[in-house]
Amino acid sequence: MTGIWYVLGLAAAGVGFVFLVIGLAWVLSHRNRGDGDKGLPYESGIDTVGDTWGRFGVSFYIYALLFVAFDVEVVFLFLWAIVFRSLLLGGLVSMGTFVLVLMLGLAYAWRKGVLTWR
Amino acid sequence: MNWSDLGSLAPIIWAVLTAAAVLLVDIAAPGRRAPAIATALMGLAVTAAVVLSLAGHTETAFGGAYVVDGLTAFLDLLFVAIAALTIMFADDYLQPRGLPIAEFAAVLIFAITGAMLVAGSADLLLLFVALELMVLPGYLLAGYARNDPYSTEGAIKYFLLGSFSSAILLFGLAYVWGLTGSTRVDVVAAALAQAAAKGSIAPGLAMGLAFMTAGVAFKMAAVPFHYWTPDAYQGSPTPVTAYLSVGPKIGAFAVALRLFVAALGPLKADWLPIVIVLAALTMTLGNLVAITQDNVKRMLAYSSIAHTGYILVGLAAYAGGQHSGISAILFYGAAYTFMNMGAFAVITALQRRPGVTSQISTFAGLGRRSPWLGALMALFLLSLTGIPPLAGFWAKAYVIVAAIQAGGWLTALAVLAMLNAAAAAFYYLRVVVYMYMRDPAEDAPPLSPGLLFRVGLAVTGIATLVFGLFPAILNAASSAAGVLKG
Repeated sequence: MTGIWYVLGLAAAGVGFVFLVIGLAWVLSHRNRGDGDKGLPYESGIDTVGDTWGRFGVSFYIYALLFVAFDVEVVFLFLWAIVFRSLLLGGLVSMGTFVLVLMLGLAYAWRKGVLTWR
Repeated sequence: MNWSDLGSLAPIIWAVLTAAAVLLVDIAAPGRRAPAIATALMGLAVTAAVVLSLAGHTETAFGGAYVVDGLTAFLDLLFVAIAALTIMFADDYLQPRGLPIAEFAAVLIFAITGAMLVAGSADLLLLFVALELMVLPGYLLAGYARNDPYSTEGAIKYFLLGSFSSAILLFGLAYVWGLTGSTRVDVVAAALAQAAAKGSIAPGLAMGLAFMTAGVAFKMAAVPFHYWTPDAYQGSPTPVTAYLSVGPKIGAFAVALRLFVAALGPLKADWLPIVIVLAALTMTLGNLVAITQDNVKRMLAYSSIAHTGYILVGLAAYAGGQHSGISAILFYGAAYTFMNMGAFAVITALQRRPGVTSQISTFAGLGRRSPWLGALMALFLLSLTGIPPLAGFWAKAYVIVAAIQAGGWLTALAVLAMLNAAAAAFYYLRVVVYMYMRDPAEDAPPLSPGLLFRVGLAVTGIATLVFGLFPAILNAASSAAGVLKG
């Protein structure tokens, strides 16, 4: 019965993936352990308190959201820049539209006063 | 990608542009309600016109991932109508509570864009992404009155269970993709037809089928996956409830048509028993619990669960070999949209003044307070019951006839559906009794809905009547759209 092994294998892979990703993130974010000075702010700033895996104020989420939007935009821009020459005008128009729509989102957030710290 | 692919995608592009235009208008004139509403409605009108201009064609785009056929056009028009009606009803509720309309309209149109994309998906991945685009704005809308604890509670429940069910559905899709080697609906169907011809299906497919059924049943609020529905529906602002009870539900049935009928059609003998059990449980439990409710919004939430059950009978009839089951689903979806949105619109009109609850006592003497609202509410409730000659009667009739023609266990299911329709009369007519046989409260102020609201209410009322008196009009459209191969 290979079918049963397929079911079990995919289930194990699905569960394993979750632990793998969270585990890797934990390992990477804690690799400074034992060298406390590395975690200190450079030249100025407030000393760090506690773990980065703690809770954050909800008002940070909008920055996280905008950051993700523009981070993903750069991923696309990068690929586009590599093949820019062969795409000709169509590529420029497509990417222009894409960036324009994203800028509209930023302009909207700005106009709504989202970027003002409260 | 070809540039010509964009032509097939034109309705969706127009819908996105409409949402963006609403946001732009809101930047230019912050907080002004009329320009935002006008932009949204005009954009939706253009979108509908674009859909109509594509109707009758059958074309595929993006290498077969997106398909424009009769089904896409029918559902697209329905979704645009849902968005337009919701916006028409919404301002009467949002304005007195100081909630903005522009964001509401934009988020709603984004949700509809997702639903339209679902309707044309011929690829499992696109189907999933489109489904998420449809439901994510829905979570936002459910929590739109963010200072109202009930709205927030409903939104959180809806969000948690919704994202959970999306993950379950995706896991099921992963099994199917792994076993057939493709996410293209037609390739999957061909591979499954080969597998089904060999006799028993592989355990992996059975597993995938179970996950996908659970995921889709969550989205369409079928028993036993319905627990989020009453809280999400009762807590949401009433116009949002009106949208949630039809938009995502018909979207979930669009997923069922594209996934179960088109992709998993070859396995229909395997999923038929599941759908029969789901349909039987859903109608019976939905109706029985609805009888005990004293809050009309919550009652209509359970009633919407029951209606999911009736629509599932159509899906079962298709699996039982009766192709007319699909057009019965579409007819039901359209008829249900108009009568249910109309009923919620009347609740919205009653709740125009902040603080008015949706308890059944609010409806006392509505027939005297406002004869038109009372008469229309009675019309919608009678149609939801399934009394001829209203749209709801024909919706049930087509589904039940398809089930009886399929025969076998489906005959029993059809009988159960008829019994349920009779039981449902109790709680629908109870509201009518309150409206016409109780005295209104002493301090009940006069009701004065806005002009746009009246137009929307007239549209739903006329549609409920016309589709009831001349069902052939809608049936012609749903039959043309229901020729889905699979």
